[in-house]
Amino acid sequence: MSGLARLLTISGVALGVAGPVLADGAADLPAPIDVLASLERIGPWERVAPAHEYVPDNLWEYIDGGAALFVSYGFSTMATAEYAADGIKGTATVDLYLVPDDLHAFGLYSRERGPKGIAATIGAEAVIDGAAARFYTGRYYVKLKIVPAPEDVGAHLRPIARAVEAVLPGPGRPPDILAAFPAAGQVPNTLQFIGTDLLGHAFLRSGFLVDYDLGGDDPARVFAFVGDSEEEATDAFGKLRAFFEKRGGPTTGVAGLGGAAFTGKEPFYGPGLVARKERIVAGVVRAPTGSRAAALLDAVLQGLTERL
Amino acid sequence: MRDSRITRRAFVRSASTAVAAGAAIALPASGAHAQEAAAGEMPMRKLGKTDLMVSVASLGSFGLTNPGVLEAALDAGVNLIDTGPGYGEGNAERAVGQAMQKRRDEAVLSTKFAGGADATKEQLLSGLDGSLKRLQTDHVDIVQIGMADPGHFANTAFFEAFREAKAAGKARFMGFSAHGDVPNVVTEGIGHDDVAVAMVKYNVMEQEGLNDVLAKAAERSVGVFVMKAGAGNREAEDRQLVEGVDAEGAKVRWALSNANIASVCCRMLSFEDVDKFVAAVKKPLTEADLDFLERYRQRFATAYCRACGSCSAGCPQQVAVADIMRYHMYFRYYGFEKEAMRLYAQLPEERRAGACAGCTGGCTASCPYGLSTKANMVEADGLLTLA
Repeated sequence: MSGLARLLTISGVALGVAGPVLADGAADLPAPIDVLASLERIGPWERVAPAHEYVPDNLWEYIDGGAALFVSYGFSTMATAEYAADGIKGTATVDLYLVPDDLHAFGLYSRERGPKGIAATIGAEAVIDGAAARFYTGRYYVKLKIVPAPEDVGAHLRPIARAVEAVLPGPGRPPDILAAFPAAGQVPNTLQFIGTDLLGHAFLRSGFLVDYDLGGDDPARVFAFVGDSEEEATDAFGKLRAFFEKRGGPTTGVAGLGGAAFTGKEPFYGPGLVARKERIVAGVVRAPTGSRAAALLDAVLQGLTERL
Repeated sequence: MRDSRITRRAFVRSASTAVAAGAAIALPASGAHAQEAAAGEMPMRKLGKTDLMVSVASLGSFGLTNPGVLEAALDAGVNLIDTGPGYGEGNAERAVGQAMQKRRDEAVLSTKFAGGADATKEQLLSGLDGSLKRLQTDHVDIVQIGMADPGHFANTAFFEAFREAKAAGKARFMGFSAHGDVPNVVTEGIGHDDVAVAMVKYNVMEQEGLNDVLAKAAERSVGVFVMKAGAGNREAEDRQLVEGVDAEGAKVRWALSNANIASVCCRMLSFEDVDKFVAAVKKPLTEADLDFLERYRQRFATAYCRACGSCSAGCPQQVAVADIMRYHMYFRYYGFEKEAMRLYAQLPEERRAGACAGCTGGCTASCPYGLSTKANMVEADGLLTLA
């Protein structure tokens, strides 16, 4: 069981295996196709045809190469349905995905929300971005859009989203681990759970990315990986340092941060500070010089440690 | 019954039908092999009638989070970068754009029109402007009709939008991508003079009928690059199958052995992916590769229903064969036992597979891929029927 999976189990979140979900013996979660089948009418919006279901092997029929992203987050089944309303321009499309756990639901949500989405109080977290709304709750990720967009499209998106939320089991709150990342200075809509190849490294498997305003020309980028063991984290830390040295130049050890730390140059992001603490490897890249990066990294390490 | 099994000899033949002398990735047994590039360099191929020389390994950007990976790919000679506005709702284009800030002139950028088959010219042009902004460039080399079908080609707005974009210097060449019904879509698409590039699904499990249309594309000088060469990447289900084998490399090299294919779009989300695929395309296609591909095909042929529906058409009893094949797949390969049984129970009694055991098996005879459809029906009825 991965470090993150163990974390979720400890926190009491029902955890499905990555991949097939419906037969995992966990809570009897409604399949997306059943959820949308139950929503024949949402206010003035009437479903125009039966909902359609997709699985990993054929999701490409619906969303082309974008399907790979959903497959990488372990979605097992999704359903889509269209709605129309008399006197209202546009067709509303609701896509509903079922994934292994709420962290993966957040992951999909975080990968698809744009930088300028406006927060909405739906599910665990939601954004409305133009003619689209996205939210997640429990193991479900929901996206809906109205095309072409009617006037005041947000006024139509919200009730549809709430109607879908109402029939989905929660919990309707973000995974606790997300609170490990300090709110102060965090750039909105940048916190992501990356399902594979964190920072472009296979040995970092999966983890978090989030941007912070530390006063530099560009936001600093924080990344965090939780390994299955200290051995795995130590190995990953070593490989990451070797990568910095091979592609960015010599690194320098830093004392007093985690169990081990170094500064160096990430070939794309520039100056970086990386630390390992127990099972965690975390870092700040695109980091301005000064103590703010170290303080931020220390806070992240502390926040994650408290939740493991 | 049509014998759809492909022997190893047929593999070689089908993979190399259009290999031009001096351009093949030949087997070591041939004594020597011709490469398109000097040793160690990335082989390049011309993309049809365009003036673009593209790397034989191209980068698929869906899921890209670190633009440094794209930079590493450029450093290694990968120059064809494929993306699209629908990948992560524009986030893939944003990641590509971060790398393009300093290295645009090294890349051949391909993106897609944002819009369905009924899009207007204005919507398509607006969508392209959005892509250019995210990509941080003033032009793309290729703009494609994504997931093209005949409905797209019937909509003149795509061609009008391309011509206007080209005149404005925002797009240089037009193409389309095809996942399903590839032979027909390609035949349709290459008939349009504006089309210069096609991006199609092509792999060892689904190449029947494609070599001919790719040859036709070559005759019309339409450049082709391919995707989904991994054929489901099911090797993890059978470790013995891949012992000592470079599975992903074999599949890519096999695709490239068709000289009508300029490049294979590879999933490169990590530095390791870049290293792996760059190394893979610099090696020749070998006997070991072909052995593995044959075993892979045989191993997964019966597990790879292409959902073409031919089986239903061959059933003399109106059984919902194609649907039951899908429910069977849900049960056996995805673990959706409850869902599969629920769906099966919703079928009217007369459309279920209860009587299939005594049937002559028109469904099996109709399957163009040699699946034991009748046997699957009989098994499905047993698995999916509630006690």
